[in-house]
Amino acid sequence: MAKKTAYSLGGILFIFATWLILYITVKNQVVIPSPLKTIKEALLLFTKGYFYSALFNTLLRVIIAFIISFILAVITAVLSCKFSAFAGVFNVVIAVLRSLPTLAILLVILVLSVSRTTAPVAVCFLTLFPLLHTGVYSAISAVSKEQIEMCKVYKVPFKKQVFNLYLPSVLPPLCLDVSSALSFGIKLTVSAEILASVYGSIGGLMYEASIYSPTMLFALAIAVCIIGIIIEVIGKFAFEKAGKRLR
Amino acid sequence: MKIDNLTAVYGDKKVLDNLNVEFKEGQITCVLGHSGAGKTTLLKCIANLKDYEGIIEGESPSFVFQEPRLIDGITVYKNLSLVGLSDSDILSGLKSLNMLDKMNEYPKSLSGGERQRINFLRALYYPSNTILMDEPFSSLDIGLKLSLINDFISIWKEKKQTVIFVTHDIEEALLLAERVLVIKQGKIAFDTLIEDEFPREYYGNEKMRKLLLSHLL
Repeated sequence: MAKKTAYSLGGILFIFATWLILYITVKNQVVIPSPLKTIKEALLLFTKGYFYSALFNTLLRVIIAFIISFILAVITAVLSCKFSAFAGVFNVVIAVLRSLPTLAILLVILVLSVSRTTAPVAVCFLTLFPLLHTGVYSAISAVSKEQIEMCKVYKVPFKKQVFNLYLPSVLPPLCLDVSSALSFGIKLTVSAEILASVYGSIGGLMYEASIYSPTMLFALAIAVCIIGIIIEVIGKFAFEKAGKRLR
Repeated sequence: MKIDNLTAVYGDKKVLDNLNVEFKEGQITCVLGHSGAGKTTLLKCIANLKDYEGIIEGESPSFVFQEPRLIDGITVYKNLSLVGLSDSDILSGLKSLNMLDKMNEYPKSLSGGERQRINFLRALYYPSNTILMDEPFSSLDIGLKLSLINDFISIWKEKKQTVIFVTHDIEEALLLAERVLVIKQGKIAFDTLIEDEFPREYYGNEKMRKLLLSHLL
């Protein structure tokens, strides 16, 4: 554990050392701002009310997109496992969704005059849904066929099968998918908010900072990184806890 | 249990071919045959795990699988209660196998023999009068096999379920079966009774061994 923490600290130090070297070499605050000044600015952000309000709006979008994607992914993955014809058809839909350039879709959505505040939710959903569908589908498919046969012979009620066989098998691999989907969702939503210049969001703040203050832009990026990591850890912990409680 | 004109196929291959057989209530019948003779397919058809043509009459059975098929994420107690065993049956079953102390353990912490004992217990105490057994001793060493057969016989003597047991091992048939059916190319090729009392001696009944061998080869 101590070794792992030391390696992580080493990684962070490496990033800041590289940044510092670039800052000294480039000598241009607009292109590469001072690392110390930026960190100070990033920490100050956590004391400002407007930052929390923007963070709340952004996270709300991520959570809404995630919940919709997750519920739909569970439904479509279960249907795909149950009906091979559905799986055959739906695989094509997933393949198309996976290869769609998401930011191009954002532009289309904006052209279609959908509200600027909901466009990032749509982008986040379109990216997370195929990832989560594939994750849930693989996890369900990996449940032992022998155990399923055993349940059939002994007429184990479906509810008991779900809680004793499926969820304990499906949740551990899904924990990883869910936590990385959450942090990926934040990244995507913020990018979409920047492009759509959504007022009162982290992306909106970044858009404004890109015009007026490069140091603030870097500080916001650091703050988003910290929040992304925190959410990834919380998401992983919550799903693991839920998996253990089901046993 | 009565089976009429049972036919089952895998792709183009007919594994069971118009098979007709009746299993006497409360008797242990061994279906003996080489690999690919259709033994496991017969059990799968009876347990409704495989599509077939023909008629199978009888109640839905319990099943002792070749491998224990316990769910690793839940305890031994939960594995048994999951299939509908009552608390009193679980307790008396575990007690009769000297495994009461394993009740709250997870299957992963049990030895192979202990896991297979739970597999037997699940089938023996399941509320059904028919038990199917698919080569349940094949992965066990001789000591474990004999002790498990003795445990099985002592519990079965109290309950007297109809047992249909498939194996390729003549010794297992001689130790456990009251009736032996030799299956060849999807049909019953030989049918005989073994009237020796339980518990039987390992490598006993030389005459029956020779008879079964002659029909198996």
